[in-house]
Amino acid sequence: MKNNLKQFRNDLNLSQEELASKTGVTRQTINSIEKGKFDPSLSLVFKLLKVLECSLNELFVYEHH
Amino acid sequence: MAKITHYGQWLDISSLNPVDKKNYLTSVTLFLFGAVAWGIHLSSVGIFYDTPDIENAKSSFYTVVRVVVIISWIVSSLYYMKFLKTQDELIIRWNEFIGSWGAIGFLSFGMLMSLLSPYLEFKPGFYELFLAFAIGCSIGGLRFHNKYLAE
Repeated sequence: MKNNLKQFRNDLNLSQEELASKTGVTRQTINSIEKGKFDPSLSLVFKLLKVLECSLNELFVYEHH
Repeated sequence: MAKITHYGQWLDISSLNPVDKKNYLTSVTLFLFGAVAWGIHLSSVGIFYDTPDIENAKSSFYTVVRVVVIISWIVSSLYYMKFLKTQDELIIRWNEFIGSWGAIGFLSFGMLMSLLSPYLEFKPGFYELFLAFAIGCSIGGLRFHNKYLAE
């Protein structure tokens, strides 16, 4: 799934490592989500939204195939 | 939390915090300890199609060895579950991926060996099927790396 995670993370001047630490996952997980390779669980999505202070529609882009 | 390395084949032990490291290493150590005991048990029931030690198969020594296998693997599993509980969802996915591919390897390579066995005059046993499982796990790790981690 496409997302704007990297953009929101950069806006807050957070490194992948820092965002990972704030959301309780590894840097590999954040990197994989940013590249659109790994779809996070709902609970992780809510943690990301809280840290990045944005809405679901801003962070994730749903593409209907 | 654990970092997956070596093309999905390994966990970087140094990336673990002290508690996770203790749980993981305890689990692996107990598993290996149980595996050695399992090897001793197999010598009483047949290993590599050699003549098993049937005369002593019911001796108290082998009974103790079998109890050791069961206890060490149960405790190993408990520690591994304890370790997994503190890991993130990518590691959990990796764990499931490897387990699933191990089963695929067991079925596909194991069945292939069995199908070819009459022509090759070779009868696959426990170790060959375990090797098939390990090959499947390894393929699973590589596929996980390519799907989720590769740059």
